Amino acid sequence: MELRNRVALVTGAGQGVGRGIALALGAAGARVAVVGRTHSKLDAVAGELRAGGAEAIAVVADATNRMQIRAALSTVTSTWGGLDVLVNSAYEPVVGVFDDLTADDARADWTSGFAGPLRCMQEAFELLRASKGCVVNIGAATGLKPDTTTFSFYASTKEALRSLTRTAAMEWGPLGVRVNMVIPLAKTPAFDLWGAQNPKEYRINLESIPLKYLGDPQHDVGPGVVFLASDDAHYLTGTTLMLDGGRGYLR
Amino acid sequence: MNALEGKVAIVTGAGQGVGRGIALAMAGAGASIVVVDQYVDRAVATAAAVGARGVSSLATVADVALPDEARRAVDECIATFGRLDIVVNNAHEVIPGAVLDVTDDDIETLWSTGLLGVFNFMKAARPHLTRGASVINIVSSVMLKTDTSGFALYAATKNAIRSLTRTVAVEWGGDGIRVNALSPQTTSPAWEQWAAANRRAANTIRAEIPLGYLGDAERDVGPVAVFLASDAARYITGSVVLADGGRGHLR
Repeated sequence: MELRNRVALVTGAGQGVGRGIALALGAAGARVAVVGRTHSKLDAVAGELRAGGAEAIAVVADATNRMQIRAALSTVTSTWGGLDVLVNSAYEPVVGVFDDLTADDARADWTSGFAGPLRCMQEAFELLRASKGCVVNIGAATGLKPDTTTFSFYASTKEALRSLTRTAAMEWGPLGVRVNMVIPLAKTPAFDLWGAQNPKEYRINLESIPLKYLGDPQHDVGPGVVFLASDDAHYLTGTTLMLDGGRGYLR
Repeated sequence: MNALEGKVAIVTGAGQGVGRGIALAMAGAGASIVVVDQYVDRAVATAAAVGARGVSSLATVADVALPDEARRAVDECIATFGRLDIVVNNAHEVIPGAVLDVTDDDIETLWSTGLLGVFNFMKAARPHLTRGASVINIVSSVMLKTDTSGFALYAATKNAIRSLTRTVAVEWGGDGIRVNALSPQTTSPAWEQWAAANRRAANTIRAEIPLGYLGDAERDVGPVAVFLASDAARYITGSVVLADGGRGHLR
C-alpha cells in the first residue's frame, strides 16, 4: 500500500483512463477525489473505490473552470486536510482532418486539453508544495507518431501539455513538487468509439502494439501512475512514461 | 539566383524582426510579398523596403488571431496578385513567464496569436495553394530546450505549432503542398529590448549558440526560409529546420 493515506485528485475520473487511474490509486491505499462533470458516473466510480476498501468522494466540477477547480480543491482539503497527487486526465479531443476543422474546434480542444490542466496545476500548487506532492499529466502517443493524420489538435494540444509538464518540473523541482506525464494506450469508451468509426485504423493500431493487447486503464495504466505518485519515483520529474505496450517505440 | 521568381508570399508579423528579414530575403529571391502586420506603419515600412528590392509588395493590417482577418488578408493577396505560393506564419506574441505567473489572458494571447494564428492562415490559404506551394511556420529553439523555465506558455504553444506542422504536412503531402517549421535565433528590436532588460539571461542565450553570434534575420535566417520555400526543398516536408547557430543542439 505505497500510497496509504495520500490524497489524490483525478480529473475526468468518471470513465476511461481517469477512472482506471482513480481505481488503481485507491487500490494502492490513496484517498481519491473523483472529479468530473457527470455526477452519476462519478458516484459510480466513488462507489467502486469504497467497495474496494478505499476512501473516496465524488466532486462535480468542470476542470477547465478556475472557480470550479478551486471549489473542488476546497472540498478535498476540508475532507482530508491536503492534497498529495493531482492527475489531469479530463480531456475532450476534437478529431478530424485539418480541412474539416474550425477555429471553434481549435479553441474547444485547447481549452479542454491544455488550459484546463494548466489551471488545475496552478490552483493546486500551494497544496502540492505543502505536501511535497506531485502532478501526473496524461499525454498521447499521437503527438510522437510520424503520421498524425486527423490529429491536428489532439497531437498539438498534448505536445503543448508535455512541454508545460517539463517547464513546471524545472520550476517546481527546487520546491519539492514533481511533475511528470504518462502516455497511455488503453481500452476506453472514447477509444472504442473511435475504433467503431475507423475499423481499419483501429485494427492497424492494435496490431502495431508489441505486447499484442490493448491496455486496461486500471491494471495496465494505473500501476504506472501509482508508481509515479509513490516515494519510489522520488527522483523522477519532467519525464514522460510510456504505458503503451511498447507502441511508442521510443528510446 | 532568383529561386522564388514569379511566386507570391504572405509573411505575417513582417513589420519587424524575423518576419521582416524573411520578407526581405524572399523579395531578394524574386517573390512578390504580402506584408501582414498588426501595425500599419510597420507594415508599410517593410513593404517599402521590399519594393526597393525590385519586386511587388502589398501591406495589409491584420490580427492573425481572427479568422476573418486572415481570410481578408488572403483575399487581398489573390485580388492583387492572382495567386499565393508561400505562407510564412511568423506572427506570435511573446509573453515570458513562469507557470505560476501565467494568467488566463496570457493563455488566450499566446494561444490565439500562436497556434490559432497559424491555423487561421493555413485555413484561409488552403483553397489557393496548389502543387509546389509551401507553408513555413516559425517556431523557437526554446521549445526544444531541457530547461524551459520562464517560458511556460511560449514553449508550449511553439511545441503545439511544431506538432500541427507535422500533422498538416502529412495530410497535404498528397496534394504536393509542403509544410515545415523553421526555428530562428536572431537579433530584432524586440530581442534588443528584452536583452537590455535581462542582461544575464541574454548573455546566457548568446553563450548557448555554438556558432558564437546571434543571427541576422535577413542574412542568416532569410536564406533558409528561401530554400524551404523553393523547389530545391521539394522533398522536404514536416521538418523542423533549425537556423539558430546550433542552439537547439538537435540531431
